[in-house]
Amino acid sequence: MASTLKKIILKSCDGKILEVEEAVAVQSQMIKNMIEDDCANEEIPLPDITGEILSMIIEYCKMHVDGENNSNNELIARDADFITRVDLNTLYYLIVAANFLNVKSLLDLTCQRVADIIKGKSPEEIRLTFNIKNDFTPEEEEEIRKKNAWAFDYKD
Amino acid sequence: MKIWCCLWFIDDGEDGNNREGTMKEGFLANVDDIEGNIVNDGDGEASAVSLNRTVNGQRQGDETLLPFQENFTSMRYGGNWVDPMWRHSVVWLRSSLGETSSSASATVEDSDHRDSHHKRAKFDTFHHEGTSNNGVFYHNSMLNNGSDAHPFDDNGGKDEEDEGELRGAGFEIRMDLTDDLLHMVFSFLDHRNLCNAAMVCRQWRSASAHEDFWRCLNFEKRDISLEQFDDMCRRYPNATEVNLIGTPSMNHLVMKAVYSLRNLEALTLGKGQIGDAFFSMQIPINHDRLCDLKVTKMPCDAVYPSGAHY
Repeated sequence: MASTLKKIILKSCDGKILEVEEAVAVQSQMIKNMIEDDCANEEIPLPDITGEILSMIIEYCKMHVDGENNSNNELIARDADFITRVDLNTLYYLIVAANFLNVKSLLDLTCQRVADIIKGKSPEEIRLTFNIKNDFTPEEEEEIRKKNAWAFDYKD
Repeated sequence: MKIWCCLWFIDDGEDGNNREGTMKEGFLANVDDIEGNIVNDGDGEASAVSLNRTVNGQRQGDETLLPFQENFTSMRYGGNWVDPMWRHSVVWLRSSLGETSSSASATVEDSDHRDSHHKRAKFDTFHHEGTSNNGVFYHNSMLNNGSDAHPFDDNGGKDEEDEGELRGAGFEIRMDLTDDLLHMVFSFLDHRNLCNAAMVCRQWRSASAHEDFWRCLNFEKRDISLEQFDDMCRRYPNATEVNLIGTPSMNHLVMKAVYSLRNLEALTLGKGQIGDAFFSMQIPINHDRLCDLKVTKMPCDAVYPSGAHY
């Protein structure tokens, strides 16, 4: 049992120190690899993750460790609850951080969320939502529209 | 099952591979071209629609960001995209009063100076006061000054289940995902939504055109022209499933599919006319993998391909 209580110390880019149980920390494949390589005995600096995002990720990992015995549906419901509370900015940083820390389930969840937001929106609505600049020339835009028109045209 | 065809085609697996190679080269060349346009992103004009733009030159002082940036560099195809796309440090929302970009830069430098004693490695973000009703125009942009203030503070804690609200809240940074992450996002989209995503910007276009997403081409009841179908076949020569039920001029499309998609495993046809040519193909094209040919609701009596070997 002693080994499961081992704490891993994480340090965010804004200097926040978080102590995390090993069982929770190893949800991150990156940290798991570090532990296996015996590189996790001192604090692990995470230069690109703020304290707030790190706390959220740990909250998510804890939820998954604690919920191991719960039914799959319950976990899905908790995931959904977690991700719908997140605004777009946070979602963006969560994706980047989940990718960096390699937390597969969180990465899937966040990417799925972005996809859900994209669904059903027109290109212009997507650009406005995600603050993306249209870098096509009008001619290119027209060409893509023509090539892809079949996806929107149903035969009567 | 093999289908034997009667045109001048010769059985050559290499042909398909060569074509694939050419496609990829074309694609990469295209990616290179794009760079120039995106880099110019930092000049003066505000976007007429959203009044948002990215402030460049925020790298100074963000040294702790570098390792991560490099990490991202290696993840991108050829590295060309990184510089413009990961330039995320600050997005400022130009006020409707029309500040000049030089004054914005000055503000930013000033704030960098003030913040220099803080360890804010990454996310400098403007906060906005006073959001007009539609959530697009912002007034009195001011910088988030405190070291422990967080970029998300102004939105933090809100429940935003409604996507309309999400949009109204204003996304302050760009969704600058790397190609790998975009790929992951797009893996959750169907073809219709992928086509919409392809029209967003160049990066999204190339990410959405990854052949992983286009292995199963379902054109059921779609009003697809021969030109469009031809284009799809050229773009995705490794498609494994094609459904042409109810498409116009199906007989032409199916010939095109059989000739140009060499890795077909399943071909579904129906509700239309298939010309004799399809069933009388004599000169061989090997479709070693084609094991599922469904022909349904055809108005003809005999649908057994005379030359097909089961």
